[in-house]
Amino acid sequence: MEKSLYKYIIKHTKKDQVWLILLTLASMPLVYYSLEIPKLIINKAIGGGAITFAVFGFEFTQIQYLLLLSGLFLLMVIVNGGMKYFINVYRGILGERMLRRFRYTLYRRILRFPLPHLNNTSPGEIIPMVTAESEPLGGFIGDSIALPVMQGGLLITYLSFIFAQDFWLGLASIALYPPQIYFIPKLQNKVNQLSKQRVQRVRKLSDRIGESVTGLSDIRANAAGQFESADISARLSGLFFLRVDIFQRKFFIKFLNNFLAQLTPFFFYAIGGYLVLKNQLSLGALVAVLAAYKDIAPPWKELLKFYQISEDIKVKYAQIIEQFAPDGMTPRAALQDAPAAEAKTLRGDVKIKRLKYAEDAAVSLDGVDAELRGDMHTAIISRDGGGDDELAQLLARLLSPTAGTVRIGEDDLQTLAETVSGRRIGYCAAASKLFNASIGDNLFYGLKQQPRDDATDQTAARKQFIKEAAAAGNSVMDINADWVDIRVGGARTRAEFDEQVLNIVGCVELEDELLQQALRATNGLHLAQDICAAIVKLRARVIKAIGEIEDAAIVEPLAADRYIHNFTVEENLLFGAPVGQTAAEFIAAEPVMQNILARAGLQQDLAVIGVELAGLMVELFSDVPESSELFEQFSFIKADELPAYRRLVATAKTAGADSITAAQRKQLIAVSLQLCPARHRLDLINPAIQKKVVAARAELMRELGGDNARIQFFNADEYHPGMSVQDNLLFGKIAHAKGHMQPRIIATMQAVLQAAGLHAPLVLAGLNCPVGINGARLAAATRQKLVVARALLKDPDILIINNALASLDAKSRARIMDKVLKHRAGRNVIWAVNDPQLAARFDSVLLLEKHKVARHDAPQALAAELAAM
Amino acid sequence: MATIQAAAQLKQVPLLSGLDGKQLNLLAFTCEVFEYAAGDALFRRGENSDCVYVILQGTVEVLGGDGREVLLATLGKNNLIGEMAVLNDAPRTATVRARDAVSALKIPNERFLELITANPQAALQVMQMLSEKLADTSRRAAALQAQLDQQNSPA
Repeated sequence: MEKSLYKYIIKHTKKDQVWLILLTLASMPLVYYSLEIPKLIINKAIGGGAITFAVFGFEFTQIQYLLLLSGLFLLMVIVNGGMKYFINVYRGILGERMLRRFRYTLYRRILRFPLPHLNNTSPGEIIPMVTAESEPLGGFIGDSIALPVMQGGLLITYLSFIFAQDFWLGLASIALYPPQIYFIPKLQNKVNQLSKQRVQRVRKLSDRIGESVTGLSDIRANAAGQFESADISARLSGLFFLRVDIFQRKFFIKFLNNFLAQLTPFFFYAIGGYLVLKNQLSLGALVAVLAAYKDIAPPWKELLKFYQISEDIKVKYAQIIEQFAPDGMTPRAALQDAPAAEAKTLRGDVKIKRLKYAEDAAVSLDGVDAELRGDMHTAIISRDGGGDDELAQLLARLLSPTAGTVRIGEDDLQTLAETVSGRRIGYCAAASKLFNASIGDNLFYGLKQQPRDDATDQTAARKQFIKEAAAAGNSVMDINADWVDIRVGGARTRAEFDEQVLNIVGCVELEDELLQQALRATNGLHLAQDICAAIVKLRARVIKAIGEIEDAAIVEPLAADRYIHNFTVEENLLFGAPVGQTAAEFIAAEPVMQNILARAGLQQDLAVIGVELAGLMVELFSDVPESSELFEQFSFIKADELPAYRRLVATAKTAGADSITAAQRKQLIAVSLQLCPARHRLDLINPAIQKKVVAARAELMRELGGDNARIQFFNADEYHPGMSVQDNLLFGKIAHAKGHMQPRIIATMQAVLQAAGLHAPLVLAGLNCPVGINGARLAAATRQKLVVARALLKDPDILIINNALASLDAKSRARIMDKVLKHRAGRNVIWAVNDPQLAARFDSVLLLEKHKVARHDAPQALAAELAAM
Repeated sequence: MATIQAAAQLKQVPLLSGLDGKQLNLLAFTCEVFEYAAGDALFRRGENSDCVYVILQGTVEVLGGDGREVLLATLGKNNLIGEMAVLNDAPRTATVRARDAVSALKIPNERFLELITANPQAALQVMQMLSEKLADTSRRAAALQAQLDQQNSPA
């Protein structure tokens, strides 16, 4: 990146800057004429004595002339305003485009950072540099050249005018420029130093805040709140006094400028006046010079202001870019988008020569020599617990060797394009990152080197995107295109790819988890029509199979003419899902529902139950802290509404349910609608009320009709998108009292799905479920299986697994290891393992000790060493 | 098993008897009650422990031993089970199975630990209970030792 801001600006905006200058200069005559015309109107058209006026050979009367000039004035105002608008927009776009380029460049540089650099740099420092700190750059770039040119031009014009009037007065008017030019940069320099410090301190502050956020649990656990607060207070204080210092200097510069600007007229009055009195200068000339001086002051002021701003921005720019140029960055060429990389393979043995790796003074590998055969499975085991992690990362090219080389076949790993190494080497570690997207997005992450279709390129919006992105040096690839390269493991069609995916998912034992995710999911699964239809067809078989588990009723079937005890009152009333609003909203607001409730007398019943329930909630939850999870999970009333309900219950109990207003009744009904008798075990919905609810439901169905746009009712013959796949399969609810049967129910469903050929489609559908931030919605073991599957799915030439299954229990770990190794039979696997007992499964074992290779042999030959560990 | 009824029953559980009515009501309202048929396992030996149970109705069998199951105890109404594994954060040491129709309140780990730590009475109860178990185990160990000595002495 260019070290100087101006070099950077000129390199990327030369043409635009010339345009801006030309536009600015072209607008100056317009400004001049919009000032000139009013003078003409007053002096000639109104005040002039002439009867007729000749313009371009035409004769005008005084009135016509006045109208002509006024019209011209109006035109000037419009053209001038339009021109200003155009220049401003142009300047704004130019600045924003450069800001876009700048941020994108910074981001691309982050991608090239050497990984160890991240140990010394925190996201808290990097993020504000790309976001907040670079923001003022955009505003400045549009002005960076045009503004000084224009104001400088004005200044020179006015000065020439003054010098033309009188040389000495001209000299007097610029007499104070030299001290200003001398002193102000000196003062400004100090201000620059201070703002530099300020930028650094703000970065440290955001770093510390970031640390507090991520370390909040430890701050609480150690009651270190006071300590941390004192630290932040000290930092804020530092920033405060730094700013005070900056203010004092900055405003002193301003004071100095203002003072000097006012000092010049003093000279004019004193010296000019003296000259006029001595008859050496005409009064007219002095007045003209004074008028001209009034015009010089603003451009000079603008120039000085511009100088201050540009200094500030230059400091910011320099400070940002120096943070984005750490030593050992991946060369840009390695990152370049090379479609040709797809054809390249990394077949052959891995030859490690005199490999050394050290971070600062800490040496982890020194003089490692080894040859790992391309068709073998090698275990890396460290006898002293060091070096295996680094070696795995070096082989995956995530770290750069301090000395020595790694060659794969004929290729030197360090000179390969990242598109090749990232595609042909599969790598996973226990801490591998999951991105906040679906499981599938994460599983296919290694197959997204470039978009696979650009069908969307044709739209106007897409064309505009490409044009503007290219102008800012940004990527023009379409993020909405399909990026997944399905040609892995010899797959040619989507179906063959799905086959591969199922194969890999089975290999790491993720099937059950994916199926369960799919069964639990309500929306976002994108189930095909035929799958939904097949699920509906399977209902009877599933119910029958579950009926065989136990005599007792495990599932309560959904029947339109019965009260469902495992449903809430709300679900019982609607027996379906409203379109575009929640059930509570529908019941509270829709006139059709309100009328039905009123006719059935249910409003009264539900309000009475509401008083009872609200009273219970007030009693149970009044001492529960507001932040407690219990509130969210169990209370029918939100913490902040509790006091209002307490008063409501008191009123209703003393004055009777009749005394409450309609709005209060709605509040009470809202509470009772959430009651689910089987779950809450409160006998408040007696059979009479149950009957009324079922009757109200029937009436609602009759009034709206089975097929309507307001509510999609549950229907035994249809798939309902508002229910989970599991509920759709059961067309019923698992009884709350039978919640402990869930694992057996799932196993039963699984068997039925398998027999019906629906197992695989649902496992694949489970890939659409989200993983959450950092994969938080998945269990630790599931996360690790997923990252192994991701590396495996790439069908890489070299597969490096860096202790990636650490969270699994020993049995599962060994089982999955066997499956993965079987899947990779005859192909390369390099697996860093902690547990020497697992070594027997590999073809060879690389035993590390004291930063070196202690032994490299078949596990049988190393049996004694391994057993001793 | 209605919530209020369950709360009244929780009062009978020694470990929870120190809690006031409001706390017990909240516990009964926010915890699940599961109904087991005879022969259903509440949990199995070796499983991770994520909750304790209070037997509200019926009887359960506590089964120990590797491979061959040995009946260690039969527990009825108002007994607390599974608390040992939760307290020392270890896998279940025994299998617990319903002998007849059982209904049990399931208290998740965190809730249970919260109750004990927030309530000195309950903590004291836990200590007493554990001391009794320890004493009982020591007695059995002594008896076994004596048996062993007897078997070995003639040889």
